[in-house]
Amino acid sequence: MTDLQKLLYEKFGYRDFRPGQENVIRSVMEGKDTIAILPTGTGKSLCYQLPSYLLNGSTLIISPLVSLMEDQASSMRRNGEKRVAALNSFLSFQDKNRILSQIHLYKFIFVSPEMLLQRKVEDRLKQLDLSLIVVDEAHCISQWGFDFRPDYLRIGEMLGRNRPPVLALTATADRKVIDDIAKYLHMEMPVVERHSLDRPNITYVVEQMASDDKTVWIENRLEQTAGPGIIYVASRKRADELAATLSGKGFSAAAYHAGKEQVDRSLIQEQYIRGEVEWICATNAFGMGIHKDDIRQVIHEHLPNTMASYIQEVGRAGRDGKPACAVLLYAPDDVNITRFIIQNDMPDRISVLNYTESLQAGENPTEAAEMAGMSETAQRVVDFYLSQMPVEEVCARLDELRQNKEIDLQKMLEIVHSQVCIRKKILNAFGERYDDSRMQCCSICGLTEMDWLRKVAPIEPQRKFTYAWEERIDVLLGI
Amino acid sequence: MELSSLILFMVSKMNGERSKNACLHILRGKRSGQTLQDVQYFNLKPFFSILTKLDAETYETQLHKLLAESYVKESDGRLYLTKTGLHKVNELDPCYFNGWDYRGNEIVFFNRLALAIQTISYFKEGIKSFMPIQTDREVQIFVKGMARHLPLENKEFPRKIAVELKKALQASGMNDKQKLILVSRLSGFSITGRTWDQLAEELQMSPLSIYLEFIEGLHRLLDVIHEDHAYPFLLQAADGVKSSLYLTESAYQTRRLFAKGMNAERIAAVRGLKMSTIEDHFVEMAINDKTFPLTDFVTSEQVNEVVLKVEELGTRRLRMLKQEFGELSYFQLRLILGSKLGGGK
Repeated sequence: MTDLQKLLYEKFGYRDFRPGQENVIRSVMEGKDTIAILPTGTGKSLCYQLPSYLLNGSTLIISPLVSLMEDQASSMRRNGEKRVAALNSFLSFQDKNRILSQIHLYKFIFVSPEMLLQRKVEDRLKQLDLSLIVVDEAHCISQWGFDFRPDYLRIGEMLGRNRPPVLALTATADRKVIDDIAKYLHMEMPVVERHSLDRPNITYVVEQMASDDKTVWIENRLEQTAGPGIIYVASRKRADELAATLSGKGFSAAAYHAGKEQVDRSLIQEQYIRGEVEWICATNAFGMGIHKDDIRQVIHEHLPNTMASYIQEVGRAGRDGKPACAVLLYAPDDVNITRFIIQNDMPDRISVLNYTESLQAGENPTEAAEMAGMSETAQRVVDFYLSQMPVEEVCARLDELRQNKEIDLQKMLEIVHSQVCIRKKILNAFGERYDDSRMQCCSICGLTEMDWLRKVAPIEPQRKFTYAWEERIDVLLGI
Repeated sequence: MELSSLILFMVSKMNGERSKNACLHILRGKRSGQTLQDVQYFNLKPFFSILTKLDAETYETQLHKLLAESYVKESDGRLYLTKTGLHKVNELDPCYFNGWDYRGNEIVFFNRLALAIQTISYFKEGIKSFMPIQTDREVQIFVKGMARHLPLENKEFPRKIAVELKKALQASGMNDKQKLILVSRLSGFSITGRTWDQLAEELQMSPLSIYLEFIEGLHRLLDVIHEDHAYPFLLQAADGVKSSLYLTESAYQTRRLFAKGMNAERIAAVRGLKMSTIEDHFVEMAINDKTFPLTDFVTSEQVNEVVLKVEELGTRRLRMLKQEFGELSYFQLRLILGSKLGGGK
């Protein structure tokens, strides 16, 4: 047993590393800048936690999503590591000051990019003895990535030249994104450690049909095959509609999207994890931070924007290692719908010019963006570019981005029209070779009967109130 | 309970005196001088802020229902009650909202309660770490503070809480459906709460109606918690939920400066706000503060004349009053209305 394995067992209780982890850890321990591309659910956080215990100073973890940050920090605390601080905009003024004043006492410091750019935070962090800097969800730094965060671009500037090694973590990144990560984080000859994106236990299926036939197809599918599953749809409205239709037919289904109030979203997640609901009809808002290992199917009713988002969504199936199935339903018109959504997301020349004119006229930026028809995300991106370059160049840059989104979409479309193995297509898109052949690979390679997918016992939806109100109180409080 | 019925009731009170969207503003709890005055004049305080997230589209749909059924007619952008409408209003069940006192904070109370119950339920099973059903940081911090003083390790404690909750629900006078809705929104170790959609399907009601029942139930529960001091656990969760100072934060700042001896113009300059905003604050003060020095702004003769005129005309419409009292500004008229007729008795 190596020293690393010994520590792994002592601190985390595992005997062996998962694929990829050990190489990343060794590279970090050698003081090299490292880019690690590891699929979600393969223990990315271990890649910095373990080295951190071997290094003297503190570890700084830059993380873009407050909910993920809180999730990670509290799970570390649960596992007995109390020297964890999370600096984000949710903190009260007092709490923030308290944490900052004793920041040297923490071993793991999570921070959101906005916070990192605050003067007070930056100054305090500079006084610290940092031994490792981690950039989580590092693909956000790339303007080509599917959730570009302008704040991320400034991380490199802030870190300066004299800094400890940087570990960039992401689940999916193609060549362009990797180059951006290295460039903007000022990495020197980074080691790129990539674990295959292949998920051998997932079978890929593409089904072509008319748009109008999709609902019936899904109903039949749910009738005959096993859950639990996720059905990804294009809009909030469709999520509600489909969930209502399926519940009406007696299936255990619920809708999930960002338009639902926060408590309802938590309730749905909890019901799903406990197996009280079998199918979730969701927009792409569903999935982050959901720990459910036994998802048997992911069905896409619409065409995703990019391969990267498709891989992330599909990757939520079969975390338990047992067989799982990913189905993409495609109607010829779908590409136009997806294209419309993408293009609509990206402000055009006229919007940008309208926006800058309003700004010059002294309008409030939020209102100016609204009037120009720009979403919040679009505004964030445009603001960033405007701070860096003249308006004409901003427009040119947006055109370029738009073209790139179209290229991404075309790649996604190749899966649909593929004559070769779908798995191969996906892996090639991320620069991986795949020449294997496997049973139950995909609908191109040919599928035999999938016994494991057959429906056994449906979950009876909890439709009636099992309890009267007084009984329910007793059950709640365990009386 | 239908939202359209609530709107109908509100229309019956304002009957053509205010613009079409006045009800929407009241339901949403808009903190503008106009809306704050409206709830006073027309005795609509119970409905203030009961649906803080009501969207204009839903409001319009409900309104259309009333127009289609000829309970209400529209003219000049104002809403009037019809004869059939009046008949309908008299048939409506009484309702027990208390929006003025809680102003959307009833949800804060419930979120705290839900997290506290979840905590007690998990602790009973010896589990001290779980996914909180409430992700709101403020709620989490509040309940953490609350839990520090609760005897979570005491075996008898959950039973005590169950008894207190049942007793309070019973005493509140809410109906059984409301009790079921409230309790169904709670989660514990062995049972997860139901979403609005699920409750709607199970009770065969619209999600909006269920939500209204929920809010009314919460108001009744909060009323009883504040009246008798028999519910220590619930009262703790209700801390700060009841509005004690009926001024908006901004009006409160204006009041402070006024008390220091500044006049309206000076306050506007110091605070960098428009004069009209400061005037709204003064009207708010006139409505809410019994000690407001009305005669600093108008003479007592003017006050008496205006009050008499309002009674004679049977209207509180500013434009009509302005025609009668050319020498008084709109601001002065609003101060008089607010101070003298604010209660809407």
